[in-house]
Parts: sequence; C-alpha cells; structure tokens
Amino acid sequence: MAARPSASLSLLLAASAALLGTRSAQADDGGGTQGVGYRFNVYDEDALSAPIAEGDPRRYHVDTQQFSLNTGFGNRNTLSVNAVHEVMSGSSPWYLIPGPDNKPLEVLSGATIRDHRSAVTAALTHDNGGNDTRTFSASYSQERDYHATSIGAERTLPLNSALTLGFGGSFSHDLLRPTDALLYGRVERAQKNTASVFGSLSWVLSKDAVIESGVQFNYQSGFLSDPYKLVVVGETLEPDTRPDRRSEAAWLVRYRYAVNADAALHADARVAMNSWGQHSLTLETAWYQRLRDGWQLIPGLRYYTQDSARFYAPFLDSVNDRYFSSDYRLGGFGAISVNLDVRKRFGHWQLNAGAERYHAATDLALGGSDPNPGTVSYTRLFAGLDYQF
Amino acid sequence: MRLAVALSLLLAATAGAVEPGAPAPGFRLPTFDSQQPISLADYRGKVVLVDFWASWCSPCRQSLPLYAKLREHYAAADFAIIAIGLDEDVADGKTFLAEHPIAYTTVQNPQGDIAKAFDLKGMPSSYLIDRDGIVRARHVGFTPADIDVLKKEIDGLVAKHAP
Amino acid sequence: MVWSPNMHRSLLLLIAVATLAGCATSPVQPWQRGRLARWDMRWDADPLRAAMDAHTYFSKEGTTGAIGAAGGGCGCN
Repeated sequence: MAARPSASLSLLLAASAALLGTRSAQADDGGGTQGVGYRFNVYDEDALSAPIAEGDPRRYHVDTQQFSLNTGFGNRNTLSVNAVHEVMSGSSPWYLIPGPDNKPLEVLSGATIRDHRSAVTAALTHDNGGNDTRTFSASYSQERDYHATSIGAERTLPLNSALTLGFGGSFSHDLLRPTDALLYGRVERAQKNTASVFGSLSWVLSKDAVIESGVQFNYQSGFLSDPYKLVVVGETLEPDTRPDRRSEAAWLVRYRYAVNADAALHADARVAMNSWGQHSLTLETAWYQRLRDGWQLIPGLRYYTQDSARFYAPFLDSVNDRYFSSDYRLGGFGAISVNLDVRKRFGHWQLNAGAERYHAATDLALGGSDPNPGTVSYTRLFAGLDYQF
Repeated sequence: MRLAVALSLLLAATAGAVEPGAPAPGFRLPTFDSQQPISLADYRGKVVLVDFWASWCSPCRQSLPLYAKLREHYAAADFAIIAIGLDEDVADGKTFLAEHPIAYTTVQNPQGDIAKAFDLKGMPSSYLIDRDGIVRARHVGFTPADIDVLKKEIDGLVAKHAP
Repeated sequence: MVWSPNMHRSLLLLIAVATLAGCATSPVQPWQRGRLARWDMRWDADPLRAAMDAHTYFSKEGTTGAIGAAGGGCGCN
C-alpha cells in the first residue's frame, strides 16, 4: 500500500463553499465510509453589540440541512452525492456612517431578509489501487438571487511508498440577479467566473503520523462587488465598488498524529493572500478522543487573522480611488473559535452533535487593526445521523 | 523438509522479491481461535491461496465472503485458503472476526515478519502457491473481478498433480 | 500585517523543505498502516462538518477558500 493520498484540497479550501460533503480520498483503509448521512445545523449570529445608527441589530440566522450518500459501484468506482438546503433570515450590515468622534456606526438593513438556498454536488471517483485515483465532480447551487454552476477534476498519484501527489482544477460560473434591483438602484444582472488549480504533497512520516502541504491559486473575474452594500462618500451613498478581478493564493499544511490507540491530534495552518491586498493566517487544532462504548469526544480550537483590503474604509470624505468598500470582511480583524463535537456509534448507526462559539474582533487581529465595527460573533450547533453500509 | 523451508526462507530474504516462480516462504503461525500452530509445510501437495488481511483494510472486508465462496467452489479439490491477519493488536483482529466470521483457516502474525518474508507490496495481498510450494501468482489489492482471474489460475494449478 | 521580503523567503524555504522531505527515512510497510487508516487520522474525519465549516468561514471571512471554485458560490452576506 502506497502512501496516504492527499485529500481533495480544492474541496476543502473552496468547494465546500457549497456546503457539500468533502470527500477525503482515502483508499485501502478501514473507512470505505460508504453510507448515508444527515445533518441539521443552526447558525445564529449575536446581535451587534456596538452602537448602531439604524436598523435591526439582530443579525443573521441560518438553518441548514445536509444530506449525503456515498456508494461504490462497478469495479473500483465510488459515487458521492451531497445535497444542501438552507433557510436564511435576519438583517445584514448595509453601510457605515461617521458617528460622534468620527467613529463608524453601523447601519443595518431594516427589512428582514428571508431566503433559501439549495445545492447539490456529485463526485465520481475511480480508484486504480495504491492510492492512484481520479475524481470528477460537478455542482449546482441556487438561491433567489444567485445561481452557481461548477465542475472540477482531480488526481492522486503515489510517488513512492511515502509520498503521494495530488493535483486538480475547477471552474465555476456564477450568475447574480440582486433582489429589488430597480428599487435600490442595484445592478440588475451580473456574472462572475472563477478558475482554480491546486497541488499537494502528502508524506507518511511514520506509522503514527502524516503531513500534507498544498497550494492553491484562484482567479476570479466579473462582478465581484456586493450589490447589497453601500459606502458613505462625503454627502452621498455610493454602491460598494470593487475591482472586477481578483487572484488569490493559499498554502495549507496539515498534520495528523495518532497519539495512541484511542486518540489523535490534528493541527492545520494556512496562509493566504489576494490581489486586493489582504493577507490571512489560520491556525486550527483538534483532539480526537475515543471513550468506551463507542463514544468520541472532539474538542477543537481555531484562530484566524486577516488584514484589510487596499480600498477598504468604513466611510470616505471624498473619492480618491476607483474602488471602495466598507464590508467588514474586507477590513482587518482576528477571530477565535472553540468547538466540541460528540459522536456515538451503535453498530452501523452513528449519532453526531456539536457546538461552536466564534468571536471576531479588531483587537484579536495580529498586528492590530483599524476600526471594523461589523465584526461578527456567532454560535453554531448541529446534530446528525449517519448509517454506514 | 525443515531444511527446504529454511532454504526457501533464506532465498526469499536474499532475493528480496517473492514473485511467481519463487518458492513460497515457509511459516508457522497460531490460529485465532485455538492458538494451534499451522504451518505452510502441512499443505504441501495442495494448491494454497495465502491471503494477507487486516481489520482496517476495507477491500479485505469485500474479499472475505468472496473467498469463502471460492473455497466452496473447490471443496472437492486439493485446494486450501490460509488467511494471515496482520493487525498489530491481535484484539482488533479478533473483534473483526467476531463481526465477519471467516470460514477457512485464519492465523495471526502481529509482528508482520511473514508479510515481510513474502515481500508484501500492498494491502490486501494474496499469493497462489502450487502443489510444490512455488508461488505461481501474486495479487495486490482486491476487486470482485479478481475472483474470476483467481479461478482460472487455480484451475490450472489443480489440474497438475503433485509428484 | 505587512509581508516583508524575508517572510516571503522563509515561506518559500518552508515549502521547499516540506516538498523535498519525501525522501522517507525508513519506509512504513503496507501492513504497518493500521493507525494511519483510522477514521480519526483522515484529513477530514467528518466531511459534512468540514463542508459546513468551510462554507461558514468563507461567508464570514475575507480570504478563506475561493468564492465559487469547484463548488458553486453563494450570495452570502
């Protein structure tokens, strides 16, 4: 048996944007994980604690259902189908205005958004044995104002008994039709294309440890602004205006260590940067502890930090650049999240549940950050059931 | 007999590759249930399929019931299957067997030295040995289609009688 | 956070080391891979959770993943 194959890196870094189950392309191992699964997730943002100028401070709430099916068919083939349905509601940051002392105050969308999104992904893998695999995938996602279609392909190849090479690419075409476009003077119809390539190398360090290093590059072009956001420029409100292209690069290193027969340690680190001037660092760790009677306890910790895009500003006195945005995601901040998952196995069935608490703030950013009042804190809960064939 | 086994082991060790045409390395391993030792030498004169498996190997799980059917197919012939479990923790192998009982002879080799002697290239691996103790076929990995290939190979070997 | 040329060089060095390190010291034999095959040793032990995580962080952070690549984007706010 050759080295462990690299996982579908692009699926982890990007594709999961569609909420679909990432497949870990494991061959020859004790997991086949052929079966069906269901998850119910609840995402609830904290009300904005900073003073606001206008709008409902209670932010976003999303209920998501995930369904997955993995089954083998024919000789050496696996089909993986994942579907997602989510219902979103709540208010969202709209723009920032200068408050007392010129400190930015948030204005949230007054009307409560209520929307739902459905998506499906299918992936077909052919396994030649020895961790030599080919995968093709396609997905479709739709909500009232947004449709996205994508396709992808990837390959894993053993280089020697310890090293496995993985590489692949994907392409996505998105169509945007903002709601109430005429009413609010938004763009009526726009599109966006994304091309992505990745390469990774995984290395079996010992009987108990593996490490993977991968890089990914993305290139986006089209309408990349947020049609629902505005920016105060002097006396007027202008639409969020971003460049029509963006390239990104990310480097991810993942480490897995079997501490003993009952526990494993995960540690991931990622650095990323984009052509809008943003850089980020992500550090994530988790401990997998097997207890008796089929119980598993998985605590985890994550730290994230990013800096601001060149053209980010809470508000402007006058236009000095073609581009401007006050979207908090283009500003600087740091975020810490703690999570705990619990699993219980009964024969072919498995029950899962978990909770995450996430808090983002400018004072958590590495190197500090300018004011960014829109940073988010949230609670996430999930429960689910899996059946293994 | 023991000299022949020792010689073939030595040959295997120095040659490094247990390929078709090479003598099968001898072994003497305890079974899972009775702990009675079984040795390959006991099967000289029969066609033997030696299959290396482990509880954590998912293609192995697929292969077991199909090998059991193969055994039934050749019940009247001089054919035997010896499954060698390679779980480093024997308890894992025992748990696996409790859930997926194997109908034919199953022995344990947690140290993995027999796998090394057979120059195992991947999991699972099976070796088809003729009546004279020579390896005639080696299969790395498993898919259901392998059973048909095995049948043809076994037919050929069973047809030849021992000297 | 400002990225100096030194940081770029260190990064490249790290990538080189990580990728060249494939020359294994003593290889792990195929029958010794039981622990590596454990479900808790996978890159994504829980694929559904990994997908949910990636989507959440992608929606709420600026640089996570890539919008729309290989999986369809969303108009996430």
